[in-house]
Order: sequence, then C-alpha cells, then structure tokens
Amino acid sequence: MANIPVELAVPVLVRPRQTLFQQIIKNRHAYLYVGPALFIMALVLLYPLIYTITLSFFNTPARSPDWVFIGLGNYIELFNHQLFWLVMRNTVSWTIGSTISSFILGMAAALLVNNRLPFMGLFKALMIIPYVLGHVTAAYLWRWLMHPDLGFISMFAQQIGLINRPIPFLQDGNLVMWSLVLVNTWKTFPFVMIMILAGLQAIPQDLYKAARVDGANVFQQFMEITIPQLMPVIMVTTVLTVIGNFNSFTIPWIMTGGGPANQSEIIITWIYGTGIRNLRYGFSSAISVVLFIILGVFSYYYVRTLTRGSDRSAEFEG
Amino acid sequence: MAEVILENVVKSYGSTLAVNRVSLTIKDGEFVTLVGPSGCGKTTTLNMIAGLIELTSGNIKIGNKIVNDLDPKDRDIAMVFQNYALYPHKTVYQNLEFPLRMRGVDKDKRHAQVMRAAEILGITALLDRKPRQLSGGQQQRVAVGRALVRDPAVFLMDEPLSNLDAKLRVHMRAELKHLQGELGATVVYVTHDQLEAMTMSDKVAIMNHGVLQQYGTPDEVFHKPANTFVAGFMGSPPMNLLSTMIEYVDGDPVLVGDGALRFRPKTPKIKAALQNAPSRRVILGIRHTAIPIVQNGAADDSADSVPAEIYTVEPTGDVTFVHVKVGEHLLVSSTNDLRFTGRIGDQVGLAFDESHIHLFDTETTHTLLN
Ligand SMILES: Nc1ncnc2c1ncn2[C@@H]1O[C@H](COP(=O)(O)OP(=O)(O)O)[C@@H](O)[C@H]1O
Ligand SMILES: [Mg+2]
Repeated sequence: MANIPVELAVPVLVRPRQTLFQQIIKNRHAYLYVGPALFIMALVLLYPLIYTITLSFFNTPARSPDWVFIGLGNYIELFNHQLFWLVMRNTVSWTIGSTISSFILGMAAALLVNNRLPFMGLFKALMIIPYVLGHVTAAYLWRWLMHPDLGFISMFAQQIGLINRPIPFLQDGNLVMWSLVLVNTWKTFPFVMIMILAGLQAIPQDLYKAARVDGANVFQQFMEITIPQLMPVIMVTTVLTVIGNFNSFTIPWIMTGGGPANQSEIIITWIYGTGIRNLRYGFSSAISVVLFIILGVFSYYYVRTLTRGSDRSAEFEG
Repeated sequence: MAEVILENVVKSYGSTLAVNRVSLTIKDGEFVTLVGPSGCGKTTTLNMIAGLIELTSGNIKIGNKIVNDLDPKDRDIAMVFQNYALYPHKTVYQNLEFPLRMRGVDKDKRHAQVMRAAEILGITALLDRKPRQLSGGQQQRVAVGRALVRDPAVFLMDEPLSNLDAKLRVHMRAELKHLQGELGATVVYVTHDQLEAMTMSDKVAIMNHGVLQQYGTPDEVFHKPANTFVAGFMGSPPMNLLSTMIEYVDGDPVLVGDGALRFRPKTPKIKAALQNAPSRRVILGIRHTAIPIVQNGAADDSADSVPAEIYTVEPTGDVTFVHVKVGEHLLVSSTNDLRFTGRIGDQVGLAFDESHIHLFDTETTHTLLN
C-alpha cells in the first residue's frame, strides 16, 4: 500500500541529468524495441490530442468540408456562452459531490467489512455488485427506478405513505443533479471500498497492539493510525475517482442527456452534445481542451503532493 | 515497579492449547526470559500479560492485583515488539510522546519526559526523523524509548533483538541488560535464542508446546536441567543424550550403551539414582565439556576412557568441537587444546567427567538426579 506513491515517484526520482535526446542515443537499441509500441501509442494518444487542439482553433461548419481558422474564437465563445457557468457548476457538483459521498460510503463499507464479523464475505460480495454492473445497465436500471410514474422508488414510497406525489428525480431541475450524484455514488463507492479495504489490510496489526498498550482508544487508534496509514491509498483513490467522475459520461447521458433544460449538463455531455449531436467539432474541441487543462493541472499538483511525501523516504534509502 | 504472577494460565485456540497451565512468579526488578522454540507459546503468554489477548483460564496478577479483565492501558505495562511497531508516519519525538499524549499528560511534562528518555537512550539527535530514516539499531532504541518514557511497572519485550544483525544484537543485549539494571525495571523478555536467555536473565522460563518446562536461574537450568528438553535446548552445542541400559556388575550399576559405551559410576548419589530408577532404560546426558577428548585413546589404564571414532572436527578458534561416534551414538566432545590434530576416522578416547553427568527417565524424560 505504501508503495503506491513510491512507484509514482520513480519517474521523477530517477530522471537523469542527460537530455532526452542523449538518452535515446545511448539506449538506442532499447528504443528500437519499444519503438513500435511507442508509435502506436503516439497514434492513438498524441494524434487525437494534437488533432483536437488544432480543431479548437477552427470553425467547422457542419455542411462544408472547409475549416475556417478563427484563432481563439471558439474559446471566446465558450467563456461567454450562457451555459458555461452552469455547466461548470454542474460539473463541480457532479465530481465533488460524487467523490465525497462515494468516499464516505466506501470508507464506511470498508471499515465494516474489515471487521471479523459473521457474513462479511457475503456482504462484501453484495456490495461489489454495482461496481461490476455495466454503466449502461446501471443507468437504465436507475432511470427506471427513478421514473415518476412507473418507477419503483416513487411507487414504493407512495404505497407506504411516505409521500403523496411522485418524486420527479430526473425531471426537476433542482433535483436532477443530486439524483445523478446518487446514482454515480452507488456505482463508484465499491471501488473506493475495495481500495480502502486493501489499504486497511496492509496496515500492520502490531501498530494497533502498540497503540492499545500506549493507551489509545478505538477512536484514537482510527485517527492516529488508520487514517495516516491510509493516506497514500486515499490520495491515489481520490485522483482516480475525481478523474473518473470528470470523464464519466454514460450515466448522465443515458439518464438525462443533460436535461431538463441543461440543468444536468456537465462538461463531458456538453462536449458530446455540441460535437456529435450538433456537429460543431471546433467548438466542442475547445471545450475538450479546457477539460484537458483542468484535469492536467489537477493531476500535476496531486501527483506532486503525492510524491513529495515519498521523496523524503528516498532521501535516506537512496 | 511490580511483581507479576501467572497462575495456571491457559490459552486455547479451538483444540490447540497455545499455553497450557503456566504458573510463574516474576519478582519486582527481575529480568525474566521466556525461551523456547518457535510456536511454543511465548508470544501468546506475553500478550496475555499485556492484555492484548484474553486468557482462557487462570489468573494474571500485576502488583498483587488481578488484571485478567483490564485493558492493556490500565495494566501499567509497556511493550517492545519484535518489529518495533513504531508509528511510521510520526517522527521519533511523536512516537515517544504518543503514550504520554494518549494518557493526557500535559505538554510541558511530555516534553521533559521525552527528552529524558531520549537522553537515556542516546537518540536526542534523531528526534525529528521518521522511523524509516533510522537504522535497525536506532529503531530498536526508539522502541525501547517509547516503552520507558512513562515509567511503566513492567516492561514486556517480544524478541526485540531478533531483527538486528549478529554484531549489533550482542551490543544491544548488553545495553538492554545495563539499562534494566540502572532502572531497576521488571522485565519479561521473550526470545527463542537460548544464549540471549542465558546471558541476560535473572531467571529463565523454558517453554515447549505451551507447557512450562523449567523455571530457574540460568545457572540452574544449565547445570540442573529438569528434563531432556531443557537439557537439549539450553547450551550450544546441545547436551549429548544417549539411550542406555542399566546392567549390574558385582552388584554395582553400570550404564551400557551401543558399541563400547560403558560407564560405571562411582559416586554414591549417581549409583543410588540408578538403583532407584523406575526402569532399566535411562537417558544419559552429558555436555561436550564433560567428555573431553583424551588424545591417544589406546585401551590402557583408565577403565573410564571410552574409545570413539572422530566423525568430524569443528574448530571455532578457542574451542574445537569434535563430533565422535561410539557405536551408533553420535556425540559432541570438545577440546581446548589448540594443537589438536585429530582427523576424521581417527580413534580417540573420551573421558567421562562423572561430576557433570545427567540422568533422565526414558518414559517421562524427567531428571533422575534430585
Ligand atoms: N490467533 C491464533 N489462532 C490460532 N492459533 C494461534 C493463534 N496465535 C497463536 N496460535 C498458536 O499458538 C501457538 C503459540 O504461538 P506463539 O505464542 O506465537 O508462539 P511463539 O511466540 O513461542 O513462537 C502456535 O502453535 C500458534 O500456531
Ligand atoms: Mg513469538
């Protein structure tokens, strides 16, 4: 568990003082071997990236093959777009909301399952179901569950007299974002649970014994040992979850398509809508580039804080 | 400081008895070692004293109070773990401070006590480091420091030196012993290393299969082993244990083993022991020092010299261990003679030093000499 940041740190730590070019010359045989793989990676990663960036500076009329260079035109339009701030706000709610709630749920589930209580094996298996279920399946399942007239939730709640009108989970503009977050939480918390559980099981039991002898109660053991020991796992899981949520498309697209009235539009559905549905490739590329920059900056700072902790260990060991 | 008493302590895991009716009294200020082979129940016993696991039955008293149901934190004990169990994310200072902080000691007092402990152990310069930035020996010291920082009544140590290299282990052995003497601390110390047990302890408790075999001073357990297990466990190389028959020649008992092994005791005490032995089969125990090699083993005068054939020779510098065969018996002898030139296959003689022999019952394995 403690290895995760160290591994992430490796490329940073072992970077030699030679330039990349000198290295390639020196290790040319090695590069020859990985060459084909690098080429394919460049093709599928670098090419679309460069293509998207290029495209974002062009106006690409749907009915004509001629692109018109408009410089920052798409970006200017984007930042002045009436939906821009709404989409940003939704994306933040969606990403942060889902991450926080799946963390709380995943952590609680992991702590529960980690106890040597009866039936925990079964319980663990049950809780992993949402994770292994396909995104499309999950989205359709919940769309049905949340349907105001036919949906199980509203019907059941009405039957037991909890409410007297159906809940418009996906129709009410104020509710829709939170309904999506709920579904996404349900879908992602098992991932958090598995990661945290792996982290928990990697904590040496002797630390708890030592803490008990030293006089720490259960809560103090949690705060003083469990949390700090889980920190590397928590950090990695957070990055993965945040990036996953940012890029998560299937659930919002299938359940609402961004509606009603763009009230659940997030960056990724907006990109899809403008690009694939409205065929505004240039504009849609500009949004993609903005998303790319946001995620890039986030990941950079995150990985840096992550690796800084392990740099110190390398100081002594290395 | 306090006395620790174990009364018929039992710990069972399902059908396995990890600890089986162990009774011990550890006096105030004593350094007592639990020693035995891996899996004999040492750690389990120690953890029960610590309160980390519950007793199946029996009583544990610390300072005259039954502590069976007390939490570890209420037992006034401190523990040093085999792998130190230092909190990896805390600095050395925070590690040392932790037991005090958990007990609500105020900050100034904590600081004073941490500094005192650090000073005693010579780790003042390391206080800002994290455990992973320390060498094995330094980590060991921090672990001891965390134990002594709050002046516990009893120190419990589970193989604290076993992760150190051989040289450092010898050094820390002396250091721990010295420290214990200075503090006048009561220590219950677990090790599988009989040498550590012999060198460090006031008293040694030898365990096997969860059962206490013998409890006594190092001198007692070495020179008066209660049974063949203790005889074979304490001391290196282990005591020679030979299966022999009692025969009578002119009314006197003679021990007869395989090949030319014959031993006719003269001491009344040994004679009596043999005459009273419950069975004619007895185990003759004798350490290498008590059967020195007599170089030319040619059958001559001393009827006690037993002819043997050298099996292998192990020089260690000051002592040379000589493994010899007498009939089917393979035994270890030794010589301090630096000019010893025996080779494999040579015939030598073994002189039996009667004052240092041991006799054990074949059935019970208990000593016949008491
Ligand atoms: N939690 C446990 N569950 C089942 N058996 C155990 C447990 N802990 C220890 N034992 C058994 O009890 C015996 C004594 O173990 P232990 O006290 O750790 O031995 P030692 O420290 O002397 O090597 C061993 O046979 C071990 O397998
Ligand atoms: Mg042990």
